[in-house]
Amino acid sequence: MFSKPIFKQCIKSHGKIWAMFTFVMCLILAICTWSFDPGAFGAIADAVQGTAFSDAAKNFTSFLGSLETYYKMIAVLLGMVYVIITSTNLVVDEVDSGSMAYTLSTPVKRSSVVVTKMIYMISSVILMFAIQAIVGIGSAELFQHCVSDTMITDDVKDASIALNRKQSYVRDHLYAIKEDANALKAGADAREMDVDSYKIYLDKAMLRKSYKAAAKELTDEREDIYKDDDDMDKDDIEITWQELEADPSLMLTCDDALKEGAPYMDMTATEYKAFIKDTVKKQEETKNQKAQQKNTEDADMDLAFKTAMEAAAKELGIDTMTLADNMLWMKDKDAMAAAVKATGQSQDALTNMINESMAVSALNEDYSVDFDMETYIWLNVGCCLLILAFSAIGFFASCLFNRSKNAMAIGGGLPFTFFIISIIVEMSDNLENLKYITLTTLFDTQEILVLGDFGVQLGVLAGIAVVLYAAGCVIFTQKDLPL
Amino acid sequence: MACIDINGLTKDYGQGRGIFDLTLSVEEGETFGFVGINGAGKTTTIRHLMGFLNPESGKATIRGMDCWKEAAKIKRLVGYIPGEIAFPDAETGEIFLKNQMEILGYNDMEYCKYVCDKLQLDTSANLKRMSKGMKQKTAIAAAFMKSPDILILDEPTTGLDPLMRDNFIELIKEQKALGHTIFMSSHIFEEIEVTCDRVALIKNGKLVAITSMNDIRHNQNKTYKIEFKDEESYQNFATLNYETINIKPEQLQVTININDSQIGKLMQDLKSCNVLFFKEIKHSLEEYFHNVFKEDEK
Repeated sequence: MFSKPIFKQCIKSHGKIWAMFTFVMCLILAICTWSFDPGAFGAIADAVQGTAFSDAAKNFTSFLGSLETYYKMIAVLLGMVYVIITSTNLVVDEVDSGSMAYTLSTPVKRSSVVVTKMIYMISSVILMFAIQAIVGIGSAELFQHCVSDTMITDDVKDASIALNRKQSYVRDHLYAIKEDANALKAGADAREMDVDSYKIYLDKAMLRKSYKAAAKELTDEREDIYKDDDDMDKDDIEITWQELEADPSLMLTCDDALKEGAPYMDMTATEYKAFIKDTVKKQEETKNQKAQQKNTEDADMDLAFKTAMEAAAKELGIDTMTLADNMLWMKDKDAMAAAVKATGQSQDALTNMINESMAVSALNEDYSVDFDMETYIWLNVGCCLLILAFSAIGFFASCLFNRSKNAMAIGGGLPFTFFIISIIVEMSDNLENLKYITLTTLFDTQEILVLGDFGVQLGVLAGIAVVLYAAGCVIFTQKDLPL
Repeated sequence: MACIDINGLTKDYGQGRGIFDLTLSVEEGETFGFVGINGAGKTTTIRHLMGFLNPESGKATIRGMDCWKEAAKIKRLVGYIPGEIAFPDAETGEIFLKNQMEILGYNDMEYCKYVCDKLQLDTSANLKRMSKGMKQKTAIAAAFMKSPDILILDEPTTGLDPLMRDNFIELIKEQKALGHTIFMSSHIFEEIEVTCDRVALIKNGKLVAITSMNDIRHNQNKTYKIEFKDEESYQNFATLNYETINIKPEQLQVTININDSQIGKLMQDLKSCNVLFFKEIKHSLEEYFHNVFKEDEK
């Protein structure tokens, strides 16, 4: 069923176009990775925080979000063009031109010819995406240092020089920076923050690291507990650090988790437990307060801060977006005076707000380049399956027709229509029902990004590919050839 | 057992196109010509032999193997020149021939080189820029290169110049001498005449006649054209009881059919006449072809 010489000839005649497409895709992917700016993300995420856009913004401009855009648009489009061209070239062009006669005048079975060509088509697509995944991970590590666990931010680098300690030590012991004035200064400069806001950032970052460690331990423990329980799937067992941040009381019952989290805060497990208890209490108080005041104060503060920013921006002669990118300028004496005047808030209150805002931005920056390998692999697999389904349509048409133009009309027209429909669906809510007639929506990047329900859709794509490839092969072996 | 056996082969493309109930067989070692006007069904028949088309009814076998079901096995024995030449992607003729060798699982370029030399083919030329004749030569080389037991050739000499055509005929004769079976379609009568043992005529998808070339070449019935010097001789001759097929009184010309056994009598009769010229008209395949078609139309 497989003919080596035919496979070799496939590589010889169609390898060039494969290499070209793979190269272009990898290049664009690398550029996407390289040009992603975590700082810009932090500012935007901060600006929309608490608004309806915050969720969307997270996907849109986080690092994986920008990769998602690449996979959803560029990889799909280029991959589609590649498979349309190659599937047409592989079979129907040779029948239409008549050169297939030479292949079939040798003692190679028709089924071997078509199966070999199918294997070439499928493996070329898979290899294309495998290379892309490797390039993606490689460039993410190279440009954003976010793949390996040893992500070292610039402030950690500079601070470690000031502290004369190893970078990895400083990364895991952020409080060491706080205790050393020089390190603090160096770190703050690297972050383009002042020392006050940098301290707040460090506190938040330490806390987050401790939550992460504790969440990991908690998850491990729960995996042991529930491993024989079929009702609990992975999502139910896993405690993410976000969940823990929302409800730190989860770890109070687990000493191991407390033990894991404590070192990041420079605390003993007991101190840490007390600290967490305190945090839980504070959170409850805030919640109660909020319930009573119905968020009015928060809204007031947001509004006040916005007014303050506008006034400061005006004073500095820049627009608010630029200011949001460079919050430090707001501490300028004139800007501050203008802000105080505009809002009627005290200078201290405003300074606090600025510090808080800058710290959150910095934290978001760290978060935005959080690279979840599983999500990224699924993005690749999903996109690859979609392209394989497209290639199956092309291959099927290529086997069915004897004329290139007919095969092109179906094998190329259908995928393009699907792609365009998916864009229309995205642009207009009224036409959302169209999503049921396009294959492209089965590659649901939104679901993949949150590691939600996407397995069935991808399974359908794989099923379509299997059925169409098989049908194409059968038709080709049975039909009359005008050679 | 026959080498190639076509039995009741039918493929109806509608509107009278296709082939209908075609039955013929080619013996081992025979060179078989397949003649017909354009669109008569020659290529369709050959496509069936190559297993590219699945017959509607009837079947074609080569050495007892079904041409559709056991196409791959049959190809071990067969060399093929398609009616329309289109080569796969390859830069030069040489690369194409080598690729072809590889798929054939054959590894001896010697005979191929011999064929190329014979056809004066420069295999290093770019395949896409080759002239029609060059392409045809490359196709011939591809079909002949492993000196297969059976050659199926669909108009193998299209595009060849007359000199090359002679070289090609030599190649065919060499293959024939090796005892290989050759099935070739053509509408160039001369090459069929000099190579083939038997010829089938096909018209509108139906077999019209199968004839042995020997019957045509060594026919005992001969045709002579005679022109007389004067009216008197002409009149005298006209009274004799010969089978005339054409008379031109104003030129004093007659054309007669006569069996070899009667030739002595004819000579006697002509002695008494004033003959201007006396000429045998050779029977050719072309003539035969025209006659058969004329009869068929009646």
